[in-house]
Amino acid sequence: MDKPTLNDLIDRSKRNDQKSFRRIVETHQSMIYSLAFRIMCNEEEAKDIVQETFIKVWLNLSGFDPEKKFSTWIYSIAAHLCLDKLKSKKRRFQAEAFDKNLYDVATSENADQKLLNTELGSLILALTNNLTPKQKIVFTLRDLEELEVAEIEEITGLSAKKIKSNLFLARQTIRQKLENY
Amino acid sequence: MEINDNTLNIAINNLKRQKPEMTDAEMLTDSIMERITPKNKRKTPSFLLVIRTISSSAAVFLLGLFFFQQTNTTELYTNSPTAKVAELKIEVHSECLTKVNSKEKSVLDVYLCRSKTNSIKNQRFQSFYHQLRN
Repeated sequence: MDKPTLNDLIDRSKRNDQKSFRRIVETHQSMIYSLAFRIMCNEEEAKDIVQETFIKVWLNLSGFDPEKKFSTWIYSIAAHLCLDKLKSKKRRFQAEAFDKNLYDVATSENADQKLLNTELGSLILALTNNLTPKQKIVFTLRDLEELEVAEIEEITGLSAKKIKSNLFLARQTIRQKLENY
Repeated sequence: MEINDNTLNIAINNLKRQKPEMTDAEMLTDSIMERITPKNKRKTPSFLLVIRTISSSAAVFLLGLFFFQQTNTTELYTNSPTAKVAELKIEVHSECLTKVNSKEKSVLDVYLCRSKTNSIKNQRFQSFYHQLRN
């Protein structure tokens, strides 16, 4: 989407224009879903994050600085929501979630895509399960979403040094995990 | 198995290439839009707005009228000649109170004045009673 168009949509959304906000949601939701899915490793939780993110965006749109990058701002909201959710989960064993996913796959009209997502989720979860929430977010943003360190600094509020150390530890943990297979 | 950086990068690249696809994207957009639509912003029918305006105006008018009448009645009563006569009559017949009002005597004096008047009245009543019996 062109920048002026996005800025127009943001301005109109600030004036409570829901049609413009809908367009913002439509163009950005897959990006947020991708991030949320890679962090949460679960389709339903990722969708919840997407919903909560856009509700927060709508409520705080007046506080958005047009000089800043809109995608970074949304990423920041989504990343913080994921971090909160990961902290509250505290490495709980996800057997229940896995069963729910299988049920969803079996009963869904998009069974193929759901199955792919479930497999991908299980793979990411298997590799990143031992990471701390911060390491998981930094790893996802840097290595899977391919964002620059400066942008990750803005999203997470962590310093470049902390980002690099979290990333180093995350990669090391994944390497150890691969060695065990 | 010895894992070098290359193997790790291959694993990461594989994860990177596999983009999760969202199913029911439109449904998710709809549910987001539904959640941001304030329920209290539903359009109020125009006749209800008219009734609301009329009733609130009437309430303000009645309240004003009530206060106006209260003030006016008090003024009329206190300024009326009947009220003044009644006030005067009270003052004329109560000697002890008149003295207090004019600040000639203290409350104790009024009390003594009252008891003196009462004892005189009692004496009169006693003599009248005796006369009546005799």
